[in-house]
This record gives sequence, structure tokens and C-alpha cells, in this order.
Amino acid sequence: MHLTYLANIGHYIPEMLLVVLMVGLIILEATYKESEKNRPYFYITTYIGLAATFIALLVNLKALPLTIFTNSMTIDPFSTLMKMIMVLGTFGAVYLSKINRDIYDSLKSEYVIISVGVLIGGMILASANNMLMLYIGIETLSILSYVLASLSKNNDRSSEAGLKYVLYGGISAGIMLFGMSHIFGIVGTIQFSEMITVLPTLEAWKIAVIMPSFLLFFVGIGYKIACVPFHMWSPDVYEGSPLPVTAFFSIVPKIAGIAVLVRVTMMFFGHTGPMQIGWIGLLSIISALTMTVGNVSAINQKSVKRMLAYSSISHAGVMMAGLVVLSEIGVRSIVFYGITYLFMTVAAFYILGIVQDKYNNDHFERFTGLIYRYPMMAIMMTIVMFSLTGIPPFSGFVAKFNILYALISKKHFALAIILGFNSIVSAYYYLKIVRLMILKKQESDETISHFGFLNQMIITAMTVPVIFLGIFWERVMMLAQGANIFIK
Amino acid sequence: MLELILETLIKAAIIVGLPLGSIPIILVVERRGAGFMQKRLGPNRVGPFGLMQPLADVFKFLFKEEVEPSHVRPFFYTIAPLIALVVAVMPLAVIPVAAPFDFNGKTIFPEVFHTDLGIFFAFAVSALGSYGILVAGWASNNKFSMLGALRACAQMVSYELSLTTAIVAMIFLYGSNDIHSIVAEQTGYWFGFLPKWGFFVQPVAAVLFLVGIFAESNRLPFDLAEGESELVAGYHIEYSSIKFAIFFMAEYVHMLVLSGLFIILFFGGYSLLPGMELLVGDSALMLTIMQVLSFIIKISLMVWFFVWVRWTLPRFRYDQLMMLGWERLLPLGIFNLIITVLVVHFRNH
Amino acid sequence: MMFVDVLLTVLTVAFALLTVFSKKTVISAFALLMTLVCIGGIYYQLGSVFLSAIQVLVNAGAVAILFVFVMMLIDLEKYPNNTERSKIKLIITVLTSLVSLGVLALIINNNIDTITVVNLSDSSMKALFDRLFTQYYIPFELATVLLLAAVVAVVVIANNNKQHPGKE
Repeated sequence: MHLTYLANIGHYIPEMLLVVLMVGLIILEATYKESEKNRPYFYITTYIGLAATFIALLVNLKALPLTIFTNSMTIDPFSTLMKMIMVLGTFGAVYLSKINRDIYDSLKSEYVIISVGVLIGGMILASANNMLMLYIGIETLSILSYVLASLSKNNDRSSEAGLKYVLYGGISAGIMLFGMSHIFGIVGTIQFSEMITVLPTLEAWKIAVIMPSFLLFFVGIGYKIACVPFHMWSPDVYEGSPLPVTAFFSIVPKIAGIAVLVRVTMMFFGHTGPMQIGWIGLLSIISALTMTVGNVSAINQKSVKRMLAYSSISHAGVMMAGLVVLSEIGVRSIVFYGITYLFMTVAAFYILGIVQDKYNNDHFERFTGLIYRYPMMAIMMTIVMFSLTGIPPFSGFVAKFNILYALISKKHFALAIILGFNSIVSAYYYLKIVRLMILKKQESDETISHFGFLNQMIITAMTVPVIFLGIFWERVMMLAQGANIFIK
Repeated sequence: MLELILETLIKAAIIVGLPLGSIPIILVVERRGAGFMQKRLGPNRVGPFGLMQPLADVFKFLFKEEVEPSHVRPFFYTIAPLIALVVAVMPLAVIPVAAPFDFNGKTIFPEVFHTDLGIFFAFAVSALGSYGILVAGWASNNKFSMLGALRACAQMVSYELSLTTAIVAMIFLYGSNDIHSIVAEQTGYWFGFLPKWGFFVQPVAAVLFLVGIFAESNRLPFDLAEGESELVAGYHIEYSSIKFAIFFMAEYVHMLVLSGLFIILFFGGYSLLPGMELLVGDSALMLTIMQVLSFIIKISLMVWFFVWVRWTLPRFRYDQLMMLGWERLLPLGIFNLIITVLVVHFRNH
Repeated sequence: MMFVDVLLTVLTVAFALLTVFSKKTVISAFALLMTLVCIGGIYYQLGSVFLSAIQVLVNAGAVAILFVFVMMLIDLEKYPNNTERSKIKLIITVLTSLVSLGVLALIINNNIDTITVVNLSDSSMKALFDRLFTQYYIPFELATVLLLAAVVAVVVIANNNKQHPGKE
């Protein structure tokens, strides 16, 4: 048993690297005196650690899909791709926290340490092959996120955000555990692979009992993705948290939640039967509602951060729509959507962070006339907003197009039409910023300090993939095509 | 079935009755010992050398007027001393007084409750010890009681941690929870004269455990719960006569139980004191009696140690106490545990 | 020994109901404590000796103490529990409880054979640890990482020693 563990660890290197990074950062932070503002070695260590994790994940991508640690975790291309998205998201969020004023100087290192912890939880979740690992992953993600949300200690909204997140998360985790225990009672095992063989053979009364249990189980995952009946925490938490935290929340927990939802759906509901009909019906309704509620609620927002929060709800709904088709095309489109969503979100939050730092609030009006003072930033923001809406030739369009293609090819026409309508509606609030930036005269002649060459380069570097993926998307699509879910 | 009940009752009568019955003796020892250390005579009027003093105390407690203040919460006020006593007595169920012996062909375990858990049961149950104090302090509806109760509870919970690391290190060393095997490992001598007691193998854990049991039983130097000079009488301000007596009984029984556990882990339990094998000879009955006697002697010495420390050391301040528990003892305990695990691992391979 | 089983079950349910329905918060906290202790007793009756000790030691002896501690520190007489009564709520509660009880009964019925087959002739602790340290080793270690991370997180929130910029 010991030798198998040692052999298994060889495949588990990314997560081990992250754990070592987290502990190393804690020790490194202890060596800094409190008054030091800049902590260059700290950030360099973080970047190196995250880059090493990314490279280790790249290596894992080539490896054969397999299950490790006595079948409790799977390493397959799908989970590795999702993990790569999460690592890149963390990279962006850590840099954003370095330059943003929302995270106090005294707490900058704590932010990084806890973010790495959340990333570990997300990676556990993406590879889970076992109900227990799923729960541990969700709890690691959640518990550390509660703290991240309330990191602005002098801000009341931040504490409120943390408290709301805790209460909501605690209840959802409890309900999910309740559902999982019922599923265990009926099926008799917690291993996903064993459940797959048992599920098609259940009698009618067992199916009648297990469907509501799966619904309860879905509560926990749905709360993480913030889909519709479980989305009420999301706007308040996203608005109250400091900006880098909001950027982090938009990417890592969502992608992790989508990854586990895709895995659960593809594994358990692949065979036709009453369970599949029920689950797919549920997913379709929830996806449609999520897209609609997210979009409609974003229309009236005065704060850009809150608008971005609602829009991320609707993006999660779109990704769930890609799941409804239950096939290779759907998974491929979800992975591609995840990659493009990552770049668009990080760029949008970065630009918003710079504007918010200057003006201390994030209302739409702060973007007025931005093109006259900072044309570079305004153009990048325009590109990102167009991409989020889904206007060609940017990557957002390609991503949405793929999902639509998947939906139509499996004849889910109603969902496709709803998706189309929602994209049109979303154009309103995304292009509102563009209109304010380009068509209105600026409010005053103030300039944003510390907005030098480096930051402009970084914004450009974040926006280039948005354009690039929109035009040269075949290579990445082939990468996403290989994202097989390993079922054993 | 009936046999089992009868056997358990007899054992309970002995193993639980004996500590409860020895409380008067401990009282005398404490008060005379206090006097001796403070260079004064203790109570010496009632009976020869003041030996009947506890009897007088018992009569006083029984016949004193039961004052029931009107501002206390009714149900919890009455139940708090009972909780304290019950939780203090429960660990006695797993403490054996001798090695298992044969009686009419059946092996009898001289402990009330024989289970796989062994010593772990005692610690699991004594974790509930803070509830008696907490309920008492809160039910008294009095700010000073509440303060004393909260401080005592925080102290007990904090020192439970370092206590648990010491216990786990010892259980790891002996390889079993079962008290009889723990004691069996400690019989015998090294170099012919040094008993194989746990104290010589793990002095660090012994010191940790010692400090922990002083904190758990709220005895000086950790008795801020009843800090007489600060909080009047802490959590039992509002209690009078028999309820107060029950609290004191609970404290003494807890002290006895914890000394019993200390002796089992670190001083050989009921294994014979050096030199006692000569008296035993061959008969099993003598062996059992000598084991019981050794145990009683060791516990008496431990109780005298408790009394000795009480009247020697001053009391800790609250923040000093918390710092000691969390910042000094807990890291020491964890470090000790790591070293123990490594040593045991390499010893076994 | 059926008598002890039934007694423990009845006590657990009674204390759980008391936790939910009592009007005073401190009584709820104490009833929660007693529920946890009784569940420890049920674990013992089912044969898992170690788990019952851990339940009493951790759940009843640490977690519940924190609950009771906080309930006592905060004077909750000013905020009595919600005593709204409504017929619809009552009907829905009863229906949901009956449905859940039915589902639970079905599930237990499904599994009753497995429970009686499990034979803990040798120490139940050994059986538990055999599984825990071989098959379920990685969740065990990852739970440790989770606990460490949670401790770090709590210290970050509760730390008052650092200077933060002034209130916004």
C-alpha cells in the first residue's frame, strides 16, 4: 500500500506543490516585519509557485487518465484543464490584490495565503471521484472564502458579505450532506465509479427516493455556482467583498463548481431513464432561469461591481446550458467557455480595479469620458465588454456560439432561443459602459496616478487573449476536445 | 445476567464508594497539612488530632438552612452540582484497582466497566467537566459567578489540549488503550532497581500531564474559578449548605480520579511498589490485595502532592494562564508527540 | 438490551425536538448538548466504541461548550425566539416531516441486512483504523489541510494586533 501511495503522489504533484507553497508563504510572511509595505520576495515566491503548478498541470495533461489514491481522485484531461483555468485565475487575482487599495497593506499576504488555500480546495473538487472528496473540496473552498469575503475589516459591507456567505454556505453544506447521506443509504457506496454500475439497476421505489436526494445534493453544488434558486447570496457578497476577492470569486469557485457538476452529470445521468429525464429537465429549467434572472437583474444596477456579479451569474447559467446536452460537444463547449470567461473576467475586474482605486467607488459614471484621458484602457474595456456580450470577432462570441451549436444539435431549441434573447438583453448593460466611456465628455481633468507603462502593458496582455481566442480558436478548441472525462 | 448485575454492583460499591468515602480523610489531610505548612495547628479540637472534623463539617452541611435565593434560575441552579458530581465520578468506571484475577473459574476484571476504550473513556468523559461549573455560574444570575465560571471553563478547555497530547503520546508508547496492558508494561525493573514507570520514559509528557491535571481540577495554582481574593467565591457564591458540599465533593473526587489516571500512566498503576514482592509469596489473593494496597498508597502520595502544591505556589493571573496553556505547553506537547511517534516507529522497524 | 436502545433513541429525539422548539436559547443549547451525548450512546450500542468516545470528547465536550459559552455571554432575553404561529406552516411542517420519516424508513429498511451482518468481533477501533489509514487516507490528510487552513483563516479574521488604515 505504501509503494502505491508513493507512486500515486507522482501524479498528484500540482496539489502538493500548492500545499507546500501555502505553508512556505505562511513561514515567509512570518519573517517580514509589520511595517514593511512591499513584500517582493513574497510575491515572487507566489508567482513562481503558481507557475510551477501550471507547468506541472501541463505535464499531467499529457499523462494517461487514471485514478489515484484508491480511486478517490481522478486525473483526466477535463479536470486538468479546469485546474489550469483556476490557476490562471488565481494568478490574475493575486496580482490584482497587489496593486489594489481594497486589500489593506497589513492583509496583503493573508489574502494570498488564503487564496492559495481556496485554489487547493477547487483542485480537490475538480478531481473528486468520491462523495467524501467532493465534500472536502467544497468545504475547503467555502470556509476559506468566508474569510476572504470579510477581509476589509473596516468596511461594514465586507463583514456583512462574510456573514451572509457563512450562513448561506453552512446551510447549503448541511443540506447537501443530508442528500448525500440519503444517496449513500440507497446505493450503498460513496465511490462514483461503483455508483455508476448500481444506478441503472435501481427499482422504481428507490428511484423515487433517490431523485429528491439528488436534488438536495444539487443544492450544495448550485450554491457554489450561484444558480438561480441559490443565488441570493451572490450580489451582496460580491459587492461587499474587496475587489480582488470578487474577481477571485467570479472565477475559481465557479469553475470548480461547474467542473464537479459536469462530472456528476456525465457520470450518473448518462444512461437514459427516468433519472436522466428528471435531472436534465431540472438543469434546463435552472439554466434558463439563471440566465434570465442574472441578466434582468443586472440591468438596473448602478455599481459596476454588482453588475459584474449578476453577469457572472448569467454566465454560469450559460455554462449549465452547455451541460444539458450530455455529450462530448457540450463538455468541449463548456471548457472553451471557461477559458474565454477567465480572460474576460480578469481583464474587466482589473480595469474596474484601477478606476475604483482612483475614485473610491465603482459607479457607472466613473467611466465617463475615459477614452479622452486613457484611450488604451478605454479600448481594452470596450473589447472586453463586447466580448462579454458575445459580439464577433471576440472570444465571447465563439464561446457562446459553441454552446448554441451544442444546444441546437441536440434539439434543445427553447434553451437556445432563451440564450439568444439573454445575450441581447445583456448588451444593454455591457454597452452602457462603452457608451459612457466613448460618447460622453469626461467629468474632470483628473488623472489616475500609478497608471504607468507597466499597468498598461498588463491590461493589454490580459486583453490580447480575448481577441486572440476569438480569431484563432481552432487550436484551443482541439485542446478542449481532448477534455475527456475518465470514468472508471 | 443477574450475575453480571450483581458483580457490577459490588464493583461499583467498592470502586466508587471508596473514593467518595475517603473524602473526609482528604479533608483532614488538607486542613492539617495546610496548617503544618503555614506553621500553625490545623483543626485539632474535634476528636483526637482533629480527625473527626470532617464529621462535624458533614453535620453542619446537612443541618444548615438551605438558602434559596430568589434571583437564580430554578432548574439549572439545582442541577448544576449534580452535573459536576456525576461527571466527576464517571471516569472511575474504567479505573481498575488490581490485575484481572480468577474467581471460581471466571476471570474478573476489577473495573466497573470493561471496554475496548480503556483509558480513553476516562478522558472522553472528563471533557464534560466544564459543564458543571458553567451551568453553576450562569444559573446564579450573578456577574461574579459568571466571570468565574467563564474563566474556569476557558481554562479547562485550554488545558485539555495539552493534556490530550500527553495522553496520546503515552498511549502510542504503550501501544494500547487497555489499562491492564499499560500497567503490565510498567511492571519490572531496569538495571534491577529502577521501576519501569512511564515517568522515567517520558518525563516531558509527565510534567505536561501534571500541569494539565492541576488545571482540570481547578486546584491552585490554577484556581481562578474560585479566586478567593478576587471573585469572592467564584462560581459557587450563591450556593449554600449541601449544594456547596456537593461541589466540594465533586472537586475532590475529580482530583482523585485525575491522580488515579496520572498514576496509571506514569507511575505503574497498581503494579507493586519496589520491595512489595517479598510480601506476596505465591498466593493470588495476596497479590491482588498487595496491588490494591500499592495503588492506594500511590494515590495517597499523589493527593498529598496536590495539597503540598496548593499551599506552596501562588495563583496564576488569567492571561499568564492562557499564555502558558496555549503558547508554551501546547507546542511542547505536540513536539513531544512527534518525537514519540518517530521513536516508536523506528523501534518497531 | 433492547431497552437501552429504545431509551437512547427516545431521548435523542426528545432532546432534538426540545432544541428546535424551546423558547429559551440556553435551553436549546443544553438540549443540543444532551442530543450529542445520546447520539454518542447510540454509537456505542451499534458497536463503534471509538466513535462514541470521540463523539463525546469532541462534539459534546468542545463544540457544544462553545455554543453554551456564547449563549451565556449574550443576553438573549431581549430577542426571544420567533413565536409566530401559522396554520399553513404547521401543515407543511407536518407533511414534510412525515415524508422525510417515510423516506428514512425506506432507506433504513433497505440497509437493515447490512447492519446486522457487520461483525465487530475484534476491536472496532482496529476495523475503523484499517479502513481510515489505507483506503480513505487521502481524505484524512486533506481534512488536516482544511483544518490548518481554517485555523489560519480564523486568526486572520480575529486578529486585532495589526494596524489597519482608518475606517472608510
